[in-house]
Amino acid sequence: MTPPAPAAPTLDAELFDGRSAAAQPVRLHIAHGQLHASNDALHQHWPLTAVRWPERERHGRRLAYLPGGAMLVGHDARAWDDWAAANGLHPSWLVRCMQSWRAVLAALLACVLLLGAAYRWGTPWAAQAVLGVVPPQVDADIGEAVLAQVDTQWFQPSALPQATQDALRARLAQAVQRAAGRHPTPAYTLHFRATPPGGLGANALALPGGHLVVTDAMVKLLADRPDALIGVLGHELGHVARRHGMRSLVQASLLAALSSAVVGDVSSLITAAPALLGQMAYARDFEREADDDAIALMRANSLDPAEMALMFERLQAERQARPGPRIELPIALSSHPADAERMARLRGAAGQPH
Amino acid sequence: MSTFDDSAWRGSGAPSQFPATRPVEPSVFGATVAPDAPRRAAIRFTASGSEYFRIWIVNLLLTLVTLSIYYPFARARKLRYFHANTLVDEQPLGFHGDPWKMLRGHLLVVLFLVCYGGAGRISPVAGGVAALIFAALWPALWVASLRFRLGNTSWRGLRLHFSGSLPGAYLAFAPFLPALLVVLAGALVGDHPEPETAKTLGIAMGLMLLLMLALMPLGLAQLKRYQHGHFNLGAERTQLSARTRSFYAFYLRSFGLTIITMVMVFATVAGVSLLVGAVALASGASKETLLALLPIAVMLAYLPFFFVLQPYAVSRLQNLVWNHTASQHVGFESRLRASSLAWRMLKNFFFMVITLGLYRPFAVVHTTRLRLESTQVLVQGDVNQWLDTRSATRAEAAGDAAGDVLGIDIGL
Repeated sequence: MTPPAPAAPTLDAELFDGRSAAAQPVRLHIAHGQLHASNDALHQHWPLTAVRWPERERHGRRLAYLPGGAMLVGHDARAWDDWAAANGLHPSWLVRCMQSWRAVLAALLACVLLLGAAYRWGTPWAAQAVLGVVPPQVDADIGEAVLAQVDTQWFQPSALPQATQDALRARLAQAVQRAAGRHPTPAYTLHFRATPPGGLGANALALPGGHLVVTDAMVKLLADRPDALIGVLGHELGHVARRHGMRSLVQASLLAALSSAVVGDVSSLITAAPALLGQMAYARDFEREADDDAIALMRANSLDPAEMALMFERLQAERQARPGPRIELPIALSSHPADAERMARLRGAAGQPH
Repeated sequence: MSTFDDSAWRGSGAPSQFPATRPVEPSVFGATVAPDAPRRAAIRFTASGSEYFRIWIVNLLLTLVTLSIYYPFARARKLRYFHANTLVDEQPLGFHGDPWKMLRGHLLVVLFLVCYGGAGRISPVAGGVAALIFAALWPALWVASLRFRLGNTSWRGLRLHFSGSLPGAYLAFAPFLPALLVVLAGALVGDHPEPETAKTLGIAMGLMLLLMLALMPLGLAQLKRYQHGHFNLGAERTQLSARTRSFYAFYLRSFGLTIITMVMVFATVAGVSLLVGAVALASGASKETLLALLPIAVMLAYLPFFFVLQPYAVSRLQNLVWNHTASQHVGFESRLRASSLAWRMLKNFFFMVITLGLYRPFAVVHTTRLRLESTQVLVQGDVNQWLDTRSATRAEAAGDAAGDVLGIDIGL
């Protein structure tokens, strides 16, 4: 064994050999690329590169992991760090970042920007990319399954006369045809359904795979204003064309993953909240996009988008007439933008040149 | 126990039967253990919130930038920091996990969760099948994770290890089978809209639900007995002496507390609503405004459950389990108070909300400290005499290696 050079700084530590729980007090020094541990009874050494060194931290003991399961424990953290520095064992840039509040604040800022970008662009982009590889057949299958489910849960067969249904179908087909090129025109199937009393009422929904469902109540609500009904269907067609149903599925999963990465192991309530709020914000964006599609369809047919605002007025009037409590969720918790905002948009679109 | 992912070994407990009912036995080394009282060794947790904050932020940034590939490295750093700051009898724990092995486990778990999440959204049947597969794999994942975590933790240079077998884990999970059947029945009901079939399935589901509730405490007892019956350090191997009826008592008390909380919350909400309503109506607010506040009131009413029931259940379970965990020369004494934990959780929640989540590392450090430092270890005899005995049992070492290759760490 090479005796330690007189100038080599030494450090007191405890050696655990991995076989016995007894601590062996040793003196450490570094020479010729080797870490030496010695006391009166033993002298061992390991190549410096084979030692897993502790990272420099303010708290905690220093633990160096040695080949073969042995371990060194330094109970005086500062003495260990000084000794390591004196031997040229400098902390990595990453560890130095963690030591510096300035670097940590920069990292925090970067995290915030990154999360913001992931929310604003990353998640929708990823959803788009995922949908790019999901064949339309999957949409169709899901749509079929969901339609069967909502049919048993919410709907009954439509009571509208066949002639009314046919007329509406023809009218929509014509409107879509005229709008070709100016409005997304996906393949769709239009379904009419009745709702039980106290159920959904006047409503329309779009399911994956191009299934548009309109309730009898909605048709009756706008019986005298067929233009508004075309607007409503144009809105749902927008959802279909942009595959909003599928996109929200993918985006919701990605948001939940992001949220659990950041606040994961503290509380399930806290993890769920940002994911839910973000998901609702995405849903409101989808509604706005679909409203734009409705406006495009109506304009292409020389219809007045303000007609669609009428639907909101009538729905509001209907709701106010209904007895019982009305619960308006705060906007951050709602999946749709406020009616007032949507009406203003539709009316604003009416004023603009075609 | 989602607040705490290092509980496997470092949670805590006290000796019910240790050492009084245990006869003094000769130790493995031939020397006789002195019949004196066990020595109390404190557990100290010396990490600081601000330091973990700095580690966490840098880890988080790297994890986000690398699309979670860096996660195992971040996790290994966190565990090394937490272990080096956990002093049992003034000696720190070591964490020996290899992040590259943990990466394999991490990728596997991510892939699995993506498939699982995707299946549930495609159709209820696919979701049900995925849930069944998940449930069938869960005990194996759990054991792999326990083996990994304990096998990579050391104290005084001796590796801990988890010696529970895979069939043993499945056996321990057996009382949860009705829960699985409830999920299955639920998926089938969604798939069979015919009223007759749905009705039959519904009744079966209800019965299963009752059975599930009745077996839940037994299941927890079995699970903890399996888990706490296979911790090893040197020649020490723990046993859980808690009786099944203690777990039933634990569930009954938690249930009673739920009822009391529910009544109190309901009374408070009703009283406050009446008061606020009367005052607001008198001052001319519309009925609609008041009704708009209803969901907020409901959410506020939900919070007491978090801050009463959860701390109660977590603290009582920790005490029950660790106070009855003991090996030949080691026992535990856990004195975690529900009120301290409730206060801690309240503070965590409050600061998490006002800092938009930045308080998280502080919350983790403070909760860990509270749970660890409420525990003491009781040691009989001379710890310096302990030896690693694992080389003698090759089969167990092989089992450990299997868990280690994948590095599965689901953070129990």
